[in-house]
Amino acid sequence: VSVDWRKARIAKNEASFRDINERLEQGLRQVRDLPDALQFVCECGDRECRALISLSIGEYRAVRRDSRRFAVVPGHAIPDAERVVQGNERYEVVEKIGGAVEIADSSDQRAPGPRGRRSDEAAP
Amino acid sequence: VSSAPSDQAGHRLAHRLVRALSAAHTVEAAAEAVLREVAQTLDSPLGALWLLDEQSGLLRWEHDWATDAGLDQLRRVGPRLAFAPGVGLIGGVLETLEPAWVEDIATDPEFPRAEVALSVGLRSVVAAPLVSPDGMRGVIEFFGRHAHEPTTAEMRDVTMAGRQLAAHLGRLGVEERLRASEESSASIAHAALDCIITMDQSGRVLDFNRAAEEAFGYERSAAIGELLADLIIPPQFRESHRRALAAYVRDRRPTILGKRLELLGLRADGSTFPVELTVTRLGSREPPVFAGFLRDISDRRELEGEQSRLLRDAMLARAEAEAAQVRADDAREEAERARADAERARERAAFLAQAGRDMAESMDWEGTLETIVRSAVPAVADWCSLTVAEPNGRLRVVALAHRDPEREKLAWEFVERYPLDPDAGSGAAKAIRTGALEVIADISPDTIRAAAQDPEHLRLLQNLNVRHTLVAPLKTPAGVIGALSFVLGDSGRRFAPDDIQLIGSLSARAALHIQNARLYTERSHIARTLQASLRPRALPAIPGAEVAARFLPAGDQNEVGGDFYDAFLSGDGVWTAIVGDVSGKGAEAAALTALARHTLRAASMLHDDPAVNLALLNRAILRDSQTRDFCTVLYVRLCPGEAGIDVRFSNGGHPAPLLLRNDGTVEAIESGRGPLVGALPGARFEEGKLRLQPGELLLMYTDGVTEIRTSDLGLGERVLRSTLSAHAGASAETVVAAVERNAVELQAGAPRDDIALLAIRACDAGTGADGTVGA
Repeated sequence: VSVDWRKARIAKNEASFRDINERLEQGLRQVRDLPDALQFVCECGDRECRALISLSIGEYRAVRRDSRRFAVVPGHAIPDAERVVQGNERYEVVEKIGGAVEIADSSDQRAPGPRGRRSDEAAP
Repeated sequence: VSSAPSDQAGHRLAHRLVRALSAAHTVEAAAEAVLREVAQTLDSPLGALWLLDEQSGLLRWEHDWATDAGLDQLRRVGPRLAFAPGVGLIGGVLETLEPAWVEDIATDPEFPRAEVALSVGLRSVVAAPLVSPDGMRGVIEFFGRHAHEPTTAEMRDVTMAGRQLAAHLGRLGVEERLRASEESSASIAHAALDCIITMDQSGRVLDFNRAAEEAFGYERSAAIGELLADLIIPPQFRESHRRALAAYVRDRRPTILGKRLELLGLRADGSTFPVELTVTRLGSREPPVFAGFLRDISDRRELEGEQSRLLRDAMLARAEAEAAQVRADDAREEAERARADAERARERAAFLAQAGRDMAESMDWEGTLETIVRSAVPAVADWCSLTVAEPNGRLRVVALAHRDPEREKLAWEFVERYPLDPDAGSGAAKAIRTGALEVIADISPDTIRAAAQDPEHLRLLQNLNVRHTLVAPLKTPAGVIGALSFVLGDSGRRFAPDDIQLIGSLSARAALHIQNARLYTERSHIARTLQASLRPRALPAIPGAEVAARFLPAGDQNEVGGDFYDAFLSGDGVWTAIVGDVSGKGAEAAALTALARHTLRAASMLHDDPAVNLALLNRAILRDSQTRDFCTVLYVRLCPGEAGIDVRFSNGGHPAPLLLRNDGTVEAIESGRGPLVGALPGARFEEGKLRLQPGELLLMYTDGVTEIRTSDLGLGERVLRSTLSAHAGASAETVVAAVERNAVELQAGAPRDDIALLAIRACDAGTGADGTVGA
């Protein structure tokens, strides 16, 4: 078993919330006069979380440049499943660690296939 | 008209006409100038201009010039007239587009105004068309005071004047229309709802319409002349505006011309508002003039902003709904997993409990092994085998179960043909050596081939379809006693962590049960051997008597002691029969039983008196420091004779024997009763006597026959008596068999105490017993 069920569930939930935010962002692209701060669903793995986070389009796209990364409400990181790589008072960016990376990579719609994107790679 | 002008005079007329017309900006002025110059040249007292009414197609009087007031009568007639093409001189020119004249009005019947003209002293007239490239505009006419035909020079001058006036009227018409158009445009611009601002190439405002005044808060008069950028463009956009304007002025690069732009406008009060702007160049005049059309789109922007907000809200709501669905799915999945885990745990617990019950049902060693492997198939594995380590170090598969009976045969063939090597590097041998659990997953066909000892070995391995194996050692405190091997193949399953945990638990229980079964088997063997040693191997044959006995131990077969009986020859023609009941069970009871039995055997050979012998046993027990137990004993001395059997007996605390008469009556022999044997020092025992008549039977029994777990304390004894009564005259063997059967049935097949029966029947006259009846 490469990753225990709980961590896999957390990663799967986060990937699902990422998919939702991806659809939301695609829709927002069609809207004129977007405000600077847009609301997205918190991508944390806590099933009880119903919070929204506020990011600009640029900030959101920066998070999406790495398949392992998710945007969450500050304090919503799950320490044994991910680490916080950056943050501010509005949101934190967590990066999956361990076996959950495979789930995060393989479920990233922006990088089809088992290999995910990495923020330090050149943009295609 | 009296003289024709020379060519030179004609040129001078042409120059004068050009100069005069250049100063004439109205039709009236132009007509005045042309009529005057030509009339003076021709010495004509009156000239008139008739213009074509394009709607009616008629020539109407427009203007005249006269030298004196004496011509007014004719001049007043003109405005009241209109000439259709071909009517009179004027209508003729309109029709032919050629100059024409009337040499003598007095003689021309076709001249409508002849009477008035003649009345004011006019006799001749010459007319020329006003023709320009745009078409026919009218006719000019000049009257003379004398009748005469115009000269060529006069015709040339009139014709030239007509052309020049026609051309000038054409220009005046264009300018008039242009002016009217400009006035109209200005009116439209000022009435327009959109802001219209014109500016020159330097960016200064040329015009500022009413909508612009209202939108930007400037008076038109204040705006005109100001730089547009400083006036209505927010500071941050001014530079780009200037660059775009300069680019156009410099190289006619239309950066923004013709494009629809959305930007911010700056009001006089400093506030901004969204505007839509289109800039265009007006005409092609140089330097260029630009017009900006601006529309306040605040409302539109607000509406768009509201639509955008609603759209965003809708998208976010959808995202939140999707997130809620994810959460619900996750919760359901976790609940299902929890339920599945709980179900698996319940199944495991149930499996282990069932396996434990199955194992507990039998303490038989071989049966336990079989139960263990059967319990694991197919719940845990496709097949399971149990290997034990024998004392000589050999490994032996002692039990095997496969989900497929045919494969089970094959598996047995495999283990029997290829015994386990105790030094093997894997499998049961390794588990037994190391005490460690071994899991081998995904055994490939190549691995099978490599492990095969020979083609037959390979064939069996391949047919058994071994894919995954798990071997668990059977550990006991005394060491590893064997191993359980589990194999998966046919089912396509794999060993999951839960399976490994389950197998660990099963193996631990199995090891315990195997160990217990081993010990129990050994102990049972010991107990059976000991129990047998406490009873006679065979009953003696007593002449004139039948003897039959039964012994039925209660409960665990490992328990020894309890009831006992004996019958033996104790002297010449004398036999002794004993039935006793030792308190307690186990080794101490067995020891007391042996003491009682052997003491009484010895005593019976020394003394005839049963009471004395019981007293002797009483002392022997009390003196035995190893026991605090006691017993009941019915000691019977038998002397068979011709008339029956003389019986002397002593009862040490034992149930009274029953005498079955031939008529079926049953009598309890209460005489000879004394205390428990071994309980009281100095105890005294009594002796009783009777004679068994032929056919009569004396039954000696222990309390296990009558002590029944019921509130009816007398039930057991009543059943016993009725059983005896029903078997009057029956053989001793028949009687003890019936008593035993009824006693067992009365206690639901499981007597709670030992049952010992010993029956002595005096043979009928002429018959005698010559054999023994085994217990």
